[in-house]
Amino acid sequence: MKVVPLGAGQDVGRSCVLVTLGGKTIMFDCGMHMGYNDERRFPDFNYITTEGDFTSRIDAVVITHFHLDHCGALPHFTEQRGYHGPIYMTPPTKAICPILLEDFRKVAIERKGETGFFTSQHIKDCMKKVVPLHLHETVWVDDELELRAYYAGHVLGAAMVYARCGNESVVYTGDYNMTPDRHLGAAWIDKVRPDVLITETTYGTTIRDSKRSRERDFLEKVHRCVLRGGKVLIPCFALGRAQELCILIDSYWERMGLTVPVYFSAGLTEKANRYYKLFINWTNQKVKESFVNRNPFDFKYIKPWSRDYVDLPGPMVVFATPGMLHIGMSLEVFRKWAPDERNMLIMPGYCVAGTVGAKVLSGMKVVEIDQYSQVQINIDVQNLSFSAHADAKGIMELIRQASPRNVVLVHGEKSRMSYLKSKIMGEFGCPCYDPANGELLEIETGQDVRALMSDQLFQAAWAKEQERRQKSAVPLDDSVVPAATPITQLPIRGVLFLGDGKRPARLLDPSEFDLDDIPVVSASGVEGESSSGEDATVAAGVDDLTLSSGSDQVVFSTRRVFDGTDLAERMGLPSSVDVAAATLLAIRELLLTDPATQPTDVEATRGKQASVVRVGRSIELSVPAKTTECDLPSLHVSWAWEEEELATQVLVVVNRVLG
Amino acid sequence: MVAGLTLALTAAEPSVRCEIYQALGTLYEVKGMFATVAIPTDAKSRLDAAILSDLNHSQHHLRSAALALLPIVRPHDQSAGPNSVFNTICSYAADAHPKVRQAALCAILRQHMMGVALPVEMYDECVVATKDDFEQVRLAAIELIWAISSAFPEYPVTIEKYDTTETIRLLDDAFVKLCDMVNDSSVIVRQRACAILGRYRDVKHSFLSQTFSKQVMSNLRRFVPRGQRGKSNKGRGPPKASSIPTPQGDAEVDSDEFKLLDSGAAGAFVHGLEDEYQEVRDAAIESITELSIGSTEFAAKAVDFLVDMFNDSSDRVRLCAIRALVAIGDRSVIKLTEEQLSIALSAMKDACHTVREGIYAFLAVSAVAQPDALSKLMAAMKSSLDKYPDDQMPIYRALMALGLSHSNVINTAFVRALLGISEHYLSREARIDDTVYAGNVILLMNTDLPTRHELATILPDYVFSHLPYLRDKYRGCFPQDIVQSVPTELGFVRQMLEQPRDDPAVVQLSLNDRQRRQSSALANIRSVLSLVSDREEMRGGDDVERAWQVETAALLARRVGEFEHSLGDVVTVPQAECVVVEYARAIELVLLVQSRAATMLRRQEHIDLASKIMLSMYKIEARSVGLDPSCRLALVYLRLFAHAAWLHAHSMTSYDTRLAERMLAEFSLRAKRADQLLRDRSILPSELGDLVQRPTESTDPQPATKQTAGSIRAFIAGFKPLTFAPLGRCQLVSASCSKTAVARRPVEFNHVFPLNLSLSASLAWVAHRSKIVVEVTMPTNEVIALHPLPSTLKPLAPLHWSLSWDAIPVALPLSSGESTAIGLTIALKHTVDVPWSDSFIVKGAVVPDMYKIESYYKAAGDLSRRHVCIPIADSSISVGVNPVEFKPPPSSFTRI
Repeated sequence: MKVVPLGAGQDVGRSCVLVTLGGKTIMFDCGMHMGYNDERRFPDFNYITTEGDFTSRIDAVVITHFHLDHCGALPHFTEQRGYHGPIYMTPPTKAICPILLEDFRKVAIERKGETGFFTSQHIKDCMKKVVPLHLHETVWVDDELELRAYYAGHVLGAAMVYARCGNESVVYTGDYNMTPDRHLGAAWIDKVRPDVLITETTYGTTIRDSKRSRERDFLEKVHRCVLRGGKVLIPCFALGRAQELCILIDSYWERMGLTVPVYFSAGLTEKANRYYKLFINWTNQKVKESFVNRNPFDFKYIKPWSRDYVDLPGPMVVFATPGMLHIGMSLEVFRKWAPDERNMLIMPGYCVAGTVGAKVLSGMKVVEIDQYSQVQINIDVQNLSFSAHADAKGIMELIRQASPRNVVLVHGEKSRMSYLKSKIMGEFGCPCYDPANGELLEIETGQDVRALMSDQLFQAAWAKEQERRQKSAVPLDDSVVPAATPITQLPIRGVLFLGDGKRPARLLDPSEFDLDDIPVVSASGVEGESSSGEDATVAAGVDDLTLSSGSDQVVFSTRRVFDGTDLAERMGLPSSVDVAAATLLAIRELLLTDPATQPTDVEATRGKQASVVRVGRSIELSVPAKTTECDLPSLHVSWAWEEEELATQVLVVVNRVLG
Repeated sequence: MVAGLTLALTAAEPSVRCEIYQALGTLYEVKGMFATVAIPTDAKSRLDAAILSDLNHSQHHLRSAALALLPIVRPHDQSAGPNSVFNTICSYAADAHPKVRQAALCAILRQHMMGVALPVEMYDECVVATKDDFEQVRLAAIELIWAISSAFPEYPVTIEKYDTTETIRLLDDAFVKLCDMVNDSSVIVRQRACAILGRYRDVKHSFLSQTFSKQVMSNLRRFVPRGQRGKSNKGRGPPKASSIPTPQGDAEVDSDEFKLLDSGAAGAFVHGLEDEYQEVRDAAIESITELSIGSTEFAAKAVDFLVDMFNDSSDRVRLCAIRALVAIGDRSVIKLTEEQLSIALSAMKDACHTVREGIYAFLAVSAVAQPDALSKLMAAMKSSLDKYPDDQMPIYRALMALGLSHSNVINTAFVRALLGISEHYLSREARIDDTVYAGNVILLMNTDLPTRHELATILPDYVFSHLPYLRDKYRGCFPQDIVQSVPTELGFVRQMLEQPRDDPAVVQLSLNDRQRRQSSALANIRSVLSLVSDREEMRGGDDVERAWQVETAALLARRVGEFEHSLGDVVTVPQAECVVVEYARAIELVLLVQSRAATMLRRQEHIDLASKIMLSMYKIEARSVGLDPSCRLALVYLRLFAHAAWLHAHSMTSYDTRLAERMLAEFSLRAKRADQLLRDRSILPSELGDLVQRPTESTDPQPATKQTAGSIRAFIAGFKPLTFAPLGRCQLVSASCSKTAVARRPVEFNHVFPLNLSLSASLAWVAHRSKIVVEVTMPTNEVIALHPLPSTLKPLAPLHWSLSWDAIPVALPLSSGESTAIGLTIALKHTVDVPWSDSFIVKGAVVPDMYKIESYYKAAGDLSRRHVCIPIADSSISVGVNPVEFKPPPSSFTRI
């Protein structure tokens, strides 16, 4: 399996991870970077192809949630770069994503005057390609690739995605939160045991304190500031933390009987509430139970914000978007309020490096807002942990729940990743990687073939095992009966049919073939161990052998195509000679040297040119007629099921000759 | 029948075999097959072989069915050691199919609760099972971990990590393991884990304290508090300009010495209280309460978290938190910070009246440090009094307790502000019927005496003159020595107050006292019990013995009384102790019977006593899970005594000889069974000897009866109860019906049709679900026992069930307008030893003189006599029913 982070490798922002599994390529997330305003803000799509034919290279795009660093580059990718394949999102993401994109587009074009940006029409067109992905529903992208979404907390509609193609599977978490909050539940996943788990690590080295103490801390700080007559600015994104903090503030105001005005800056609020009502099943237990009586998002104390209020005297609390202070209303308010030391700035979430928010948090006293202006910072800056990301324990917990074979870390700072990486390797003993952007990661996955076993075969094998046990259980002295133990492993001998497309591979008893109407199937005798119940995971080396089904016995056959000229050169044959026939002769000669593989076809050798060489009772080597599609010389080898061991010896000889 | 079934086993299809195993299991439950009733050897050996071979059948249904039957049948206990059955079951805890794994773990748990000792080696298997993929298996595993850790708390467990080897107690290790389960992905498992954590006692404090902090305790010992960690960060030099400092409330981890996941009990309750699901939060709160009662330090930490839970979004959780705090506060006063107080006061505005009452009770057991906090509290109380007049008495009760605990805070300035008394001017007299004023007076008058004397100097006289009226109006709200607080110059008030009050003082005991008393009362009970069972032959004749018996009975009654007195509604009693007390009550009756045995004057009294003993023995046996065999034997033996006492009260000569014969035969059957059981345990009480060797060869029945009567009398006189000391694992079967499921107002129904009632309840520790019955008490006091349908019972956890039956068919012969009430309760059906006799004994009835031997044979075959129903719900629910006649609504198309 191949994993390439195009964005968010050892970094936060512009999440975009390409995963190739079972021959299919999925792009997980297609985000943009908030810290840049040039072409670096989009993932480097040229990595995929420079010719622009993305649709043939990528089978599906999956967007985990509506944050711009996870979906911001999507219209650019689909409309301006020309990807026309399917896009998967959960319904809330599909509903909210275009609003945020549009909002962002407006700001970028109207305020900053950028050109070449995607247009409203682009966003609309892009959304038309979206296929909804419901929680726990298995969606087939095509015959082989399946997707399944799990609840991720974080924001409304955030999902973790499990993808499986053939025998390889991957879980991409997107952003997730393992602790429930006031309106969303906690992320959880089945024990899907994927080959690779790609997880975010935003807070990979943090252990978060109890949620309640953080909430109390937050309210205390706000209260203290408004008491001294200061203004509180809380930058946050319109959906998610905003609702969480508003619920908190609203109930606190009610409890303390405060009258200080609280404003919410985004026009999105009403829309947001509509979406929360619409997607009530994506919230947590409490909201689901209580929304019939009272909508928890109908706030009593929180009023809509108007730009004129910014210069009003007196204390107030303002929620302004966006959360990283890089643009928009929050930046505008911040610029006005930053010089006054009575005011307070509360940063509830994560800030991507390069944004004003990050600069302020790092303690800079003078910050350049744009190329024309800079602002003196006297405001009281508070960094509170309300981020809806999992902390280190949560990440470990998720890994334990999913029990993957490999872990890939993305969406985090490099230093944090390396710590977490050592922890994961130490505690789970599974390989863990933290690739940089554009670094190709090839992960060896098990060659396990999952197959459905026929009931008849299973029963027979089970009975055989039981019999064997009873025999071995006959005690040496009759007095002690050994305690019965469960059968957890049993050898099974059968024929493996490799699946085609949607049909899974099957393990059958040879006697069941005539029930099947397939004339030619790939097959091989296997011996595996059933590990769980009725269906078995069979470990087997699968040859590319073909089988002509005889009327009474099973015959395997294979065709070996080889480079005639090269072989002729090696054997010193003149070019006029039929290479295949000459090769057959050479093989026959070699076979003669070993008594075990003595050819039995006495009469055939009399002829000038033997077209068929027989060994044992059923093994046949022959030169097939040349077909139109393949003009390379080839050899046809077939043998019966019973003589497999002998056939292997013959094949060794064949291989030796063919090189 | 068993033989037939086993014969069928050899030929049958897998699904039929599965049914047969289940049928055999039911037979065991219902008839005590295999345990008491022996089955033919050839059938047994056939069954053994079938079970052993089906253990490895390819179908998991059959494997689990065979596994469930394995400990009952015990196929190879002759040849191998006693643990071989366990070892077999244990190995199936690693079966390929989850259902089989679950069945294996449940079978072990059931055996444990039935009194079989578990091997401690099983612990490792259980720990592995807690990481199973399937939640039902994990559920059974955590239950089992608790069982093992309570059976072997001191067993050392070695932990190897980071090159150090540490040995801790199994109890602590199990606690940590369960703490880890609080992070499980399944809601039920989380809930169960949280609930089970509360059952632990004597966990090391270092482990307990971790549950409230998400800070990882490295190496299980070294704990780095947050402050130090911060310092060490700073010590490393100034942070780089570009790096963003850690937000408050977070802790950076960079140490390599501990594991993130395997970090002991860290934060188990933080996670539990923050869980998305209220069921889990509820369970966490319950457990915190239980643990707080065991440890004061833990309680101090818990308060902060519990007060925070007042802000929870779910009513149920809020209420739960309040109850928890009241229970903790009863033990030691809770000191509230200003913030906690404000949270509590805001919770007082709750619309739900139960929550408010809870808050008042909580405030009563808490204390504030500052007068202004107290005045804030009083202001809140005032607004509550205005807003909710119904809350008057609960508020006064809270104020009373507050006054008592805040003597040091209440000073003159506070009182002036509270009552609005000016320093310079005379104040207007307050209205005597002002509820707020009355509340203030209650607060002030409950302070300690010195404070009251101090206050007397500034309080206006009218306050004192109101006192007699207020005291009589709000009874129990003023202290005993209220007279002392009145200044001497107000002699008439003193006189009025000194008049005797008609109700005796209720001595309030603090929880600590109660618990101490309770445990000492228990110890006393135990010592008296051992006195009774170990007594030597009395010298000095019957009179001395009788006197001793009467005296001991009285002593026992007193001890039990003491115990009950020490019991409050908030004290939790270990369940094994409840059983002991119940047993002690029965022994008291036994002594009474013995002391009066010689005098046959009051026959009915004898019958009643015997009936009570018998019933309480059945009650103990039915209601307790996890009794060990020797305790069960003590119960059986006491039942024999009750039977003897009952028989003794009859004058046998007045009966038909055949009937008397039958009655004696029933008794001797019981005696023989008891004798056999005693022999198995090689206990041979001397008094039993005569009963068993009853001469049967005598041709004349009359002397034989007489002889037996004599030996019964001797048995009663010489009876000594066996030692009864249940182990800690003993649990009481209980059921709690949810009241909400039953409509509060009378149910209106059409009297033509039978009534369908609904009942939902959760049952704990019910081993056999076939024994659950719902008892319906009809208006005629007739009790009908109904078996709940299988579909209405759902397993919550091993041995725990939830019952939700929304159509209990009740046929009421009522006509319209006759409204009445029906009682609903949940009971356990318990099989009696001797059906015919016991049906009389349990009812406290005498066999009538005219009783015909024909009726005996008829009654002996009556199935309903084979059971006795033992109610297990705390209280029965009464449903008002109101039969009405429903008329079809007049249709507009009807022509008039």
